[in-house]
Amino acid sequence: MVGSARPGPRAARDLSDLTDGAVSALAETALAGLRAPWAVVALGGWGARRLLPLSDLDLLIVTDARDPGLEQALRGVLYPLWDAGLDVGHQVRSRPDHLRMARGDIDTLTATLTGRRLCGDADLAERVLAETASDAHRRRRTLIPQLCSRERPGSPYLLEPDLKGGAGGQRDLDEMTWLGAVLTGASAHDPSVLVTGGALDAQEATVLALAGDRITEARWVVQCHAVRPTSTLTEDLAGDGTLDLALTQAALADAHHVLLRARSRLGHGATSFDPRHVEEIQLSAPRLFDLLDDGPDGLAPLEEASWAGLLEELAPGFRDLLTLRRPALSHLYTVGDHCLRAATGLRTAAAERLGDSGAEHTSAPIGRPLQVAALLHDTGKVLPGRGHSERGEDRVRQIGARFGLDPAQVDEAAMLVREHLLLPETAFGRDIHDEDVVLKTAARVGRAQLVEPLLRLTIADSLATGPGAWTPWHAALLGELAQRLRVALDEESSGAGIAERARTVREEALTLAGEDVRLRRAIERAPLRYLAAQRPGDVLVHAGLTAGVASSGDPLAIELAVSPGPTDGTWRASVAAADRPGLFAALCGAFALSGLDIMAADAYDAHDDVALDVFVVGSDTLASVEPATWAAFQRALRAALIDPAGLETRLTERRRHYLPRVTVETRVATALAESYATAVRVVAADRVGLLYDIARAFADGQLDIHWARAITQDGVAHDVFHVTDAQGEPVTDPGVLGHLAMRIRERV
Amino acid sequence: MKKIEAIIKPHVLDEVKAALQQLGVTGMTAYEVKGFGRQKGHTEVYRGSEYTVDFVPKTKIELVVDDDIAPKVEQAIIDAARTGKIGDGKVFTSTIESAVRIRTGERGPEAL
Repeated sequence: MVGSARPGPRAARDLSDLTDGAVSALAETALAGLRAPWAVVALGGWGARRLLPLSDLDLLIVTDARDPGLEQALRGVLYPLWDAGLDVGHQVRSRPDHLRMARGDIDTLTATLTGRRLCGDADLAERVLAETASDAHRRRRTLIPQLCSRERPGSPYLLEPDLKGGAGGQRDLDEMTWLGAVLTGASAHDPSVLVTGGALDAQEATVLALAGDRITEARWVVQCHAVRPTSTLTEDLAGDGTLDLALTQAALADAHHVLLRARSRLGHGATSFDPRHVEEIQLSAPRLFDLLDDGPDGLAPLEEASWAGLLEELAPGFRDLLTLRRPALSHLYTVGDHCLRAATGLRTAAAERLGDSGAEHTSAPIGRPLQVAALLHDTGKVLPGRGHSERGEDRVRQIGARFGLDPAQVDEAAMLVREHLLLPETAFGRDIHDEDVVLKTAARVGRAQLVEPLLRLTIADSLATGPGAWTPWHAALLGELAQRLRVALDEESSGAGIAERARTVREEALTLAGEDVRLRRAIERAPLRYLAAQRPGDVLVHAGLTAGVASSGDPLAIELAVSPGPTDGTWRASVAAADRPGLFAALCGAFALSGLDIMAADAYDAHDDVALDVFVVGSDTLASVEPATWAAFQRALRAALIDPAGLETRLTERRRHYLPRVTVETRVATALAESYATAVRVVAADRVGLLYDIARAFADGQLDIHWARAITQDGVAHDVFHVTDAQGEPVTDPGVLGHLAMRIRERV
Repeated sequence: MKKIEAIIKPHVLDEVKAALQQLGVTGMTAYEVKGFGRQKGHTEVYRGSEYTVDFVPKTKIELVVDDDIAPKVEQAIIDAARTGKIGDGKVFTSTIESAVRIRTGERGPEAL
């Protein structure tokens, strides 16, 4: 019967009737010999004719006289049931004993309120049920508060709800049945009895009847598919499409909210919106923001408002989202409820620490664009599949003004929705120690002012997803990314601008490269900071240089390209060589030995182990710069790479003959920037080999130069270097930086 | 049978997974962990004061494979997880005495 039945209330009634017949037959045979009157009563769900495949049988045998043959007779009823594998709970009591028990134990009372005679003395059975209900009615002033304070764990919006004991489950429907029985003083089998008591209206009773049918159907399917008794609805127990999960979710929501209304009408529990006027009142934007500002306390009223359709003017379709299921690895709640939890969780998100970044948030106000973004961030999931962030952005642009947002605020909210996955996808899936990754992310964020709201939205989204989505592990990675983004987007760094310019230059350079695979590869792998500072034609030339070194296989390979510089008498020399410690110093030294004065230098991070440096040089004497000068430079560089000590000696000798033109105090400043590198600024009198000496100071301290810009004006050098330690981390130890500054001053 | 455990940087997990799938390895467990090696997490002394650097988020993967493909699996993880920067992590290999698939009762390599 169970295997062939169509899941639902009809099957539950049929199973109940079948069981009635079997138990009655057993009881009538086994108890026939008893002298005193007896009755067998089905209690609980069985009494309400709602028996499920794995339900236990709750049996009451009432007899007012203790017959000596009773125990033996009972075995005749129970043993066959146990042998059949049924779970049977049984009580044998006299009528007064049962009434006493019902008074003292709420579970006995509630089970009896839905009781039903199976067989035996009809009068005895009816008296037990009637007296219990009548007594409960007399005690209603204490009983109703007790029933209304029943714990209701979980939420009807869980993707894996407890269909029996959880909020919105069978017990909520049972509670309304019990309340009705207590109010009317008569046994009841479904919540419609509450209409008589005035705690429900007819429409709500109809909604509940449908909800009850759906929940019974869902419980039947779960019990048929589960190996062991369970009442939790999971995707794998949903029976291969037998069950309409969306309707089941809606049924749980209906049961949950109608119960809250019933409790409210009975004076126990408050609803935020008067049910008599829900069709007339729509939530206004100010009222919505008041509820959001309440934080987690605003969740219950907002769930209620959404379920009642009060958000439809502000956010059309939100009611449907409340029960929309999009199961994913860590998500606990339906789409709409997840959005409500994120929006009401922004204040909690603001208090979260982010690893050891020390970024405890202040009590800065939460902006309206952020609140709207949190509320609507997953509304794009109304359609399945990828792209929900972009769909959500479109939605915000369509309806953002309804929330009282001005155009700039709508833009901000739309951007936050579009990029709400950017930070977690980058922090957990990309190398945030790679400057290019951070610069590209910065380009998408666009402005420093948006890092904080985007971060809060990320945390709120994670907290609203479930406990597995926000842990110290996540917080540490996200905190580090946020710090790097703030630095990248500050006015000095202009990280967003770097990424945009780099992208444009790269595209143009690739067009110029045509089908040349070597050149295209070199251009595609070039760092963003380098690309942003070049012209596309120069990028193409440089790509040829780096590709030449990479493919030569010679560790001493040098590729040089020379072109006219920005002013008369200057030259732009681009040099590619295999990266190694001290390379930049060797380049600077080789220029000095060749009679070339470095006026500007740009050093870029190596890619594929090939370093590229671009210098603007001029003659440091009146001698003209000829092809032989470049040949001498290449010979000097090669010699410097083979014998660094020899370079030092030759420079010292040359320096004796060429004194500095100006005198200025050497100044060294370091910035303890928490990004990918430490910035070191040096101001000093320009002279032969100055850049060489500064670069050697870095090399002696085992610091790598990732980027350098050296400019000489009126005989004074203004040089900036971005350096890291041997582990690739910025140098933050004040002692190390102090020693570095001392070394630079000594060499300069 | 060999159990291979690896501590890797979180952002290389997808590459490692893809590399293992190419070898026909489809079962793997991944954890979010935190730890320190030489990258951070040591106590420094500066001007007489001690300070401790915190743990770094990592991902740990575990898988059990047949003896004959264990070396290839180990190398695949190394190649996929290497970035060349400090903090790339480590791979450990140990011997497993037995394995059982709970659903079917298969034992030994058939359980993998």
